[in-house]
Amino acid sequence: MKENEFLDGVSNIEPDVVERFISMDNKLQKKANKQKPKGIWLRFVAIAACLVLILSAAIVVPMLIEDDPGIIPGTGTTETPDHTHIIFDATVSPEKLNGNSLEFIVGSSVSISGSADSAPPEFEFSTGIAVKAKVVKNHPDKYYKLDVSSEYRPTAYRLIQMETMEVISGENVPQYFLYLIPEYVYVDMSVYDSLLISMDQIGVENYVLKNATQNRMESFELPMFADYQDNPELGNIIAFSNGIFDESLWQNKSWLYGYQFAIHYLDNPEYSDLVVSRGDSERTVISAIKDQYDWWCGGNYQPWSVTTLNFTTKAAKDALEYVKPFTNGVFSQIYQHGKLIFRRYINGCQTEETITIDLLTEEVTYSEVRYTKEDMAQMENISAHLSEKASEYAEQLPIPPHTDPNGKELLCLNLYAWYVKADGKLYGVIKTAWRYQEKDDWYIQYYDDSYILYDMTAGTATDISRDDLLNIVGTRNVYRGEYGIRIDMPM
Amino acid sequence: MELQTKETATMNDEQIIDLYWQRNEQAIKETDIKYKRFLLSVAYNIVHDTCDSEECLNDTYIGAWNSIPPARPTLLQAFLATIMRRTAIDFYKSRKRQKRIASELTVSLSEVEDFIADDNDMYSETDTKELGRVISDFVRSLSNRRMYIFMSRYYFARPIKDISKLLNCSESTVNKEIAAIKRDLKEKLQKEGYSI
Repeated sequence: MKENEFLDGVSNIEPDVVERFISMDNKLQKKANKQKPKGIWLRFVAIAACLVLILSAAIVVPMLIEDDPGIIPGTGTTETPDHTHIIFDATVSPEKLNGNSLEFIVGSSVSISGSADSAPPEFEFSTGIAVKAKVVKNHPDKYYKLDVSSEYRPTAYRLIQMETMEVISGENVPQYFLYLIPEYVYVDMSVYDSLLISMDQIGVENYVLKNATQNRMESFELPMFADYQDNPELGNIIAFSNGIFDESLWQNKSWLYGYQFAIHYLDNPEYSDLVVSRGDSERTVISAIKDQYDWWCGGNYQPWSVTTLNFTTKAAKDALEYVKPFTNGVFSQIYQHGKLIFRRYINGCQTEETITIDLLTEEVTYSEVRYTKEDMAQMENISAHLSEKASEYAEQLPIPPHTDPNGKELLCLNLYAWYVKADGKLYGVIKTAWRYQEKDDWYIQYYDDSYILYDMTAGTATDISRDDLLNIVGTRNVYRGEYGIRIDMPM
Repeated sequence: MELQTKETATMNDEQIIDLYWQRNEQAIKETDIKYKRFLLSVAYNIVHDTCDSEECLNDTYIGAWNSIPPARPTLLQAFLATIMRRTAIDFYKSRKRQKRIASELTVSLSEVEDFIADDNDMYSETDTKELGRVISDFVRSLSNRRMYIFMSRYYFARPIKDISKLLNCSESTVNKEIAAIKRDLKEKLQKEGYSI
């Protein structure tokens, strides 16, 4: 079948199907919209979010530069006496991070809906793994994921060890697992008798995180779970005390949306699609969650199983050995289309080296570019340069090269770095990216960026045009669109 | 900073359709007020160009004007979306011939490249109406959730990120479901005798 035939075939989908989709879409859009606070409240939250981010950029960046253990956030650590024998099975990297490897951002995440604030909480269970669990131990340190999207601010996380008490949905769910939760919604959940958690698996054994408190890399043997990627919120956790819904978890004051939202919809259950109401028992809520899955999936809900790596082929086993943390460097993990993709990080910065293992066939694909130990010995620490740049920007915001900022509002300013190996030569790139929007019209947005190329062989750093950079390093992370007006379309 | 859509009083669909039937040009204006943003988003995901999206929008309004009457759509938004998609697909094909497009549609098509060939200049013998019926049957057989994902991705070329947000799940979950849908669709098409 040819591409145009497929396109035309889809164009000829019969009207009742399109109508069914549109009806469902309107319902979902409406629900998504009603979850967003309106008017002055939204404005206040957006401003507050910007302030928090600017402050955190100002605090976090110097903290890492100075290798300071920093402030331990949250409401403190909790040791649960019954489970003191359970330890965090983290392996610590011998490679200490020098300087800052974090993405710098001023402003806030940019979402396609045009909202300049963080995503509102979702109160429905997502598909995937759902369990009844309890907290075994809260980890005091602050963590960052390696694979954060460049579109989003780098979210700081806390790590909680959980014990599964009952599986609501999912197969092969382990008895113990690690749960990654955004720091800005973190509270001590060990005070609750049980938690109903909807989550996705984000990593198998040897998942690597940056420990920002200790300024080092750590890898973990227990499988890693989180609320859904890039958009994690506390709303997918429902707490119970004495078997009854305990809404106090949702009233974390740092979680402004959740507080407003919970109060509004718990007070007005007739307008709510929440799976839980005041006074509900644990059993009632579990049953509501199952019903919801069934509605979506016509009674045939099949959760995705938890993945464990029991490869049988030598190629897959060798690949796993190759990516084992700290023996041969550091690799992030990500799932995509049934494949587990490992990406090499050096000094906390991305490279283009990947190793892909097909979970079904165990076929292994190595990227063309590979970094040797000799390469790594002569790599400059690009993350240290990133730190310098971040400090410079913290003093004074840079001016975009192709865009007149007058009459526009700065949505965000991103700063990030990566390594490239091209024609056998080693480079580092630092990119600064701006997003503006027209004042009073979020529909119109502007994008701009600039690049610095570090030539590791020549030992030079050069401001470089996008075209020259493309010639040298190819397209990786290099924007190819036009500068100027663009529209981020709402759905 | 205005982050929300300005609320505008809009007619209901029935009233707008009546205007079309009365051949009253106000019908286009009312359609524009109510559905412009939605329709532009449909076009933009396919053509990935603001000017082309606007052009598609105008063509869609003309298409609606020419089709109603005799048509009396049961759901105007779906009717307009269908016209817009076809118009945008025509733009996409024409731009693709000029090798100057990189839209969400291109990305979504690359996901199904294991059962489509890129040789579009060859004469096509497939009856796309019949293929549309087969795909419709397939979509009808899906669960609500999978139907929503399929239509979002392959009919409206929406980004995975947007779909996952609306479904309150991760992008990887949506990707996994897409993989399962693709597998089933491939099986269905093969069973119906399509060469893949």
